Amino acid sequence: MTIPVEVILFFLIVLGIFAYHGFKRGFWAELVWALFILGGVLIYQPEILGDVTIRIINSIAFIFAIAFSGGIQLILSGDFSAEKLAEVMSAARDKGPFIPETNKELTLFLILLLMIFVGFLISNHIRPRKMPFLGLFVGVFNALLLGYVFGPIIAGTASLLPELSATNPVDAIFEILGPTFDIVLAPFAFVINTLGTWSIVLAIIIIVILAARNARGA
Amino acid sequence: MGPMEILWLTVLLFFVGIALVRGYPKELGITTLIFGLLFIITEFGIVYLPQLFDTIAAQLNLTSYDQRTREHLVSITLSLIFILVLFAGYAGSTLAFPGKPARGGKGFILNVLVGLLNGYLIAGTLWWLQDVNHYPVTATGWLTLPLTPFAETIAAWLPPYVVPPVFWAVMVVVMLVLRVRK
Repeated sequence: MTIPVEVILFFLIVLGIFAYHGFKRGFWAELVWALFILGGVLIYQPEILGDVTIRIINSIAFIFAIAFSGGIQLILSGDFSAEKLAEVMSAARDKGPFIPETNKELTLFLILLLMIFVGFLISNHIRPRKMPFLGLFVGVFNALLLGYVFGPIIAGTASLLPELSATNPVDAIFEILGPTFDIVLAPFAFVINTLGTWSIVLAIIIIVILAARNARGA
Repeated sequence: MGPMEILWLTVLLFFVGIALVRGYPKELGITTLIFGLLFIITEFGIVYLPQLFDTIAAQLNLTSYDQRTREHLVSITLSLIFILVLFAGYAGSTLAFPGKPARGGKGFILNVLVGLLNGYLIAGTLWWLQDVNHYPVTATGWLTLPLTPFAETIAAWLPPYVVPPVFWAVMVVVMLVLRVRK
């Protein structure tokens, strides 16, 4: 897959903003937000956590439906005969699922947005400026996740999220990160393609000088 | 992944762990030592040691001595010297850089980077000593050839293959200057 240069530049600018944001907010705040975003992305995928989430919501809603379809009166009257119970259950079932199949995708997307928003609010309460450099890296990670979620929407493609073939959360995370890392690694790939094996020499020199200049209290 | 790249990756991660515990100023002393060893091994060891073994074998009139025996001896001798000198380096602190690691995430990242560098140089050199000597380790049965495509890719990027010997000598000088300047 060839990625146009302007797309790479746009992504790098966005990554830079998120990296700066992560640097200011610190590691723990960014990590908490990352966990919320990741949770939201996994919930949005029906095959991974989406269907389970919908089932849980529908089950909870069903309990309330039982309560409001005569269940409360049943408890108050103390009449727990099989006929009465079947009647209440049948009335609750007739109401249908709280989230029908047609609204599943929209509901999951709203949960995803909610997770991103709530995660951001919660992480804002974490004391800033703790481990800013690690915060920078997690900030970039968050940018990758959000880019994965909203990139296709911005690009105007039909689906909200690319289809994932993974059926478990771990594989899904790798599948999500794969294409986004391709973009992030594009500058490194450019350096390696241009300099070849000399990029190793360059990396050695940069690491050694960076580390040597940053020893405290020498 | 095959056994060679798994071993390589394990050694690499092992040295990242060591760097996280010891801190990068100490690890830079080891880096200096590795640069020096790499220069000696790639410039002299791999050239003159086989000749030395040939001469000794000729003097002793060893009939069973052949090219494969020489490859075994060269890889074992150089690997042992490399490991022993590194061990001595880790035991002492002569070349360690003065000062303490930076605090927080910055220090963590530098520890990881220097650990990765040392791991790459050490694991890469040991692998290279096997590669140039046509994998004597296969005689032990721990490794079976051919290497996997992934291992072949890594093997093409081993330190002595990608960097000329003189670079290591230059880096020793650079490291000593950086250390003195501190």
